[in-house]
Amino acid sequence: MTAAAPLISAREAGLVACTRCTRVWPMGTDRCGRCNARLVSRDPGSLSRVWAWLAAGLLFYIPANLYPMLKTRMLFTVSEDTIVGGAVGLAQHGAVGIAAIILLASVVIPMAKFFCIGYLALSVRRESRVSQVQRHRMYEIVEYIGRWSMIDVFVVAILTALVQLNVAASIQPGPAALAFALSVIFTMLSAQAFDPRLIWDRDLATGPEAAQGGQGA
Amino acid sequence: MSGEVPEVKVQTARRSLLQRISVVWLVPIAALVIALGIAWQTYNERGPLISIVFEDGAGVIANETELRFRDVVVGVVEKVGFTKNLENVLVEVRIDKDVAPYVDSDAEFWVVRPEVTTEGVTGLDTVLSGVYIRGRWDTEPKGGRGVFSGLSRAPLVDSDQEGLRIVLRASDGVVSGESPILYKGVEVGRIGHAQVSQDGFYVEAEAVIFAPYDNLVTETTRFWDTSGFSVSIGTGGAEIDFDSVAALLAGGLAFDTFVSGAVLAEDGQVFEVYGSEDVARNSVFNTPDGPALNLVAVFDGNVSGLAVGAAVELEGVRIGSVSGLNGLVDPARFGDRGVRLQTVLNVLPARLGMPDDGGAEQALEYFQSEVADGLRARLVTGSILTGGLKVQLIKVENASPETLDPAGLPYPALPVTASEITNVQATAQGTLDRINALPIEELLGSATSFLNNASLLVGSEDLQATPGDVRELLGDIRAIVGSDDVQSVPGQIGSVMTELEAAVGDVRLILDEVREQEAVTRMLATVDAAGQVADTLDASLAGVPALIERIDAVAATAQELPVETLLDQVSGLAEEARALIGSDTARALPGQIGSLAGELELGVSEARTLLSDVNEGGGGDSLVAAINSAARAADSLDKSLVGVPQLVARIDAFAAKAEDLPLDVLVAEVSSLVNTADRFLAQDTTRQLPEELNGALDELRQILAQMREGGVVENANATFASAANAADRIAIAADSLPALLSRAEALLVSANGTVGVIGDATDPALRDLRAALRDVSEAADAIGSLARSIERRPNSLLTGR
Repeated sequence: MTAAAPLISAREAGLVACTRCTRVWPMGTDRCGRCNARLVSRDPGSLSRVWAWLAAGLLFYIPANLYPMLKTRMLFTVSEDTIVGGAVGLAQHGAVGIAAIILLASVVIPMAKFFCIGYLALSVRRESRVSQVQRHRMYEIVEYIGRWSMIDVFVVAILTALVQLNVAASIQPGPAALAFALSVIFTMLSAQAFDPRLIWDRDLATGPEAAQGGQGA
Repeated sequence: MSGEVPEVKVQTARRSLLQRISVVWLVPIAALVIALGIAWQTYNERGPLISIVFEDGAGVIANETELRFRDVVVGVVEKVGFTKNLENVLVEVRIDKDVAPYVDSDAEFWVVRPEVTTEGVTGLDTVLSGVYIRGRWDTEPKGGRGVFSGLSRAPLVDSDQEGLRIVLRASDGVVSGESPILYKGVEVGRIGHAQVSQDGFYVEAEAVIFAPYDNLVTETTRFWDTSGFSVSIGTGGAEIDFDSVAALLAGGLAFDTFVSGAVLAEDGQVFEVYGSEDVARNSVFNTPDGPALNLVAVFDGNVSGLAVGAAVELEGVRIGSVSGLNGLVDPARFGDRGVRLQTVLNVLPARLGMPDDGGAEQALEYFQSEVADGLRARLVTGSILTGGLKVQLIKVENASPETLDPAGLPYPALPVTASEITNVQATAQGTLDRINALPIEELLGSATSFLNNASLLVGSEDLQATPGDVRELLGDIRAIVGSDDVQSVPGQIGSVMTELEAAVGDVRLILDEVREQEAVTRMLATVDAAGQVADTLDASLAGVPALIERIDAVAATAQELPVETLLDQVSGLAEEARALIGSDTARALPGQIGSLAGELELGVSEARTLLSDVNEGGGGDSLVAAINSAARAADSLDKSLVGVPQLVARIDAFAAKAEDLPLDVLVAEVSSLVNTADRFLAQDTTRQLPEELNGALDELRQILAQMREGGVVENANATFASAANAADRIAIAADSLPALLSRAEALLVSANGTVGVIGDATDPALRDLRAALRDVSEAADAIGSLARSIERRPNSLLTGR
């Protein structure tokens, strides 16, 4: 295979690839002869599951931002901080870097994930100006980076475990922590439910000639 | 690659909706359902929003400040804003749904803040946690209400405290907020915030007596002020009284029910607060119970001196007191802007003999009719000293018609008439002015100059020299007394006596000479004569036994006499005599006698020489003649003795007579004589007798000596005469001595007075004076004794006794 050769999918080549060990088998093979994984050329329920998880993640993302993430009790004063409120407070106290990290990890990345997954899921059915390669790369980034959104949850967990100074000060997780964790989990599941091979099927579905022409051009 | 590509059968997925929709969709649906459920539940459980209006919102923070009921959080402040026009703070509180029905129109809200008062610290927890709103409502749900007005301070009684709520009323601000009410030193209640009553005459405060002490308060209970402390000084010493330190600082009230058996007080009852326990205690007995009628009288003019508590008198009878005073400015009513004094007259209908129930109405009717008849109120002087005023209700003749409006505000107004105030101050001022005008300074100046002159006079040298003069006078007297003339008087007497003594000595000498001449020769004749005498005597003695018998009878008679008393007397006499003899002067007597005997001896010896001279010089003849004469004398004695038996017989007769004599009387007389002698001996003068006898013997000795020397018997007469003259003169001098002494005594008395007047300032002079007086006294004593002895026995100088 040369670099100039047009890209064809396995399905076009009449093959089906194993999603576990990447071995290709002739179309119609039920199970992978190497790893015994079930071989499906395309997952028909993928998009449905993506949307379902994405919706759940979005649902939980709302209380995660509205409810307080931390309940900080120092002597007699109890302060409850939401994610954004905490970041703003930190920024106002001069810790702009930390605030930026929190904002990045807790707001920007989850939001970007929602957008990316949604875009990918939509782009399977519609024509996209972004090339298939770029979209695939986007998918890989999303799947890779998704787990890092849990950094906020980890911080809350660690603080809760560490700062239990009885009367003087104590930190307890707020309801947003659970919601945020669920939101991240659902988003990750959503990303996993997405079948990246669908990215490549887009052209076939709309028309082989166009895809062919496109490929050929 | 081969060209033959097997046809792949692509099966178009045409599946059912159930197949196409993933089961994963259950997850977001479940999440949505749960979220919706929670949202609905939250909304469903959310209580109503109530609004509370506070004067200020210090410490109230939205979403933080809690609403608590019995210290349980039942709501949270959601919003803190303002009412219209920013007049008050509007706090909106979301309350729990289950308590919302109870938050009805009687609910009360207040903000609990930390408070540090004299009673302690409250709400300390709010210092750190912030304030909270406390609510109180009863346990019966009634119609709710959306807007409440919050209290500016905590109400008196918490909802969990039961008690009797009363109103305390005082005429001034003794009732201060948040003060304790003490009963026998124990806090049993609390006074709320004091405020001025609506009519403006009193200070009123709500108070509560906590259960179970509320049954201590009856209708006759008296409250009094215990704030501050009282200092009293009495016979028991000084006392400082105060009830508790808290009451001392913040004030407090105490109460007691002095009369038992009264009806328990009810909620809302009004009690007067008295100034002290004594006043409160007295008020129980002085003030008739029952409702009082309040009237108002507006006086104008200068009415200083009227005080709360001043008497209100009707026809001289006290029917009430002034219970309130305040100024009144009402141009619309009086036509000017002057300040008038509005007084509240607290009239007790019971004093007018009206019953307790309905008495006030009766009294009001009475006053209405009386006012129509001319009853007016006026101010009169109650106390001239203090200028205090009292209110007097009198009937004024021809008064302009007035009416008493029973519905007047604040109370029915009593018309007034001209006041009769004695201007004590002006009178007193006049008196003081007059006193002021008195020339007190001049008077004091005159007095001062007078005293200065007196001081000068007293301090003048003339007056100062007076004691000296007196002293000199006394010295002169002493000099007179001690002068040689006066002193030599005894000496002269002594010399006279000496002369006498000498003369006697000479006489003795002559006699001795005579006696010894021809003594032996004539002795025989004499003895012969004596023999005859003895014979005659022998014959005479023949009658003696009979005489002895008589005497014996006399003695027997005498034996029967009360000799014991006589002997006692004699014994006392003997004791006196012994004391007399035992005295020094008496002891010196023998010595004197001895010396006198010595002198006589000398005189005899000299007489003997003289007689021998006579003998030699033909004196023997005369001696013979003398002896002859003696013989004749013996003869005549013999003849005389012849009559002795007759004499004995007569004695016998005498004894017989004596036997018949009233010897009792004699003994009594002897006894009295002895008594007299006893007294005589007991006298000081008698004691001085030996002394004088001594002196007389001395003198006698000297006289003998002089007689011996002079040998001139003839001179003796002249000497005696001159001695008598001298004695007379001494007597005269002694006569004048008492006068002199009395004069000296008078002088001394005067001097004593003078000395007393002069006083201690002349102390040294006084000492001298005393010494001089002592000397004078001693000299006077000596003179006195001398004069007495001479006066008593002028002839003792001659007789030697």
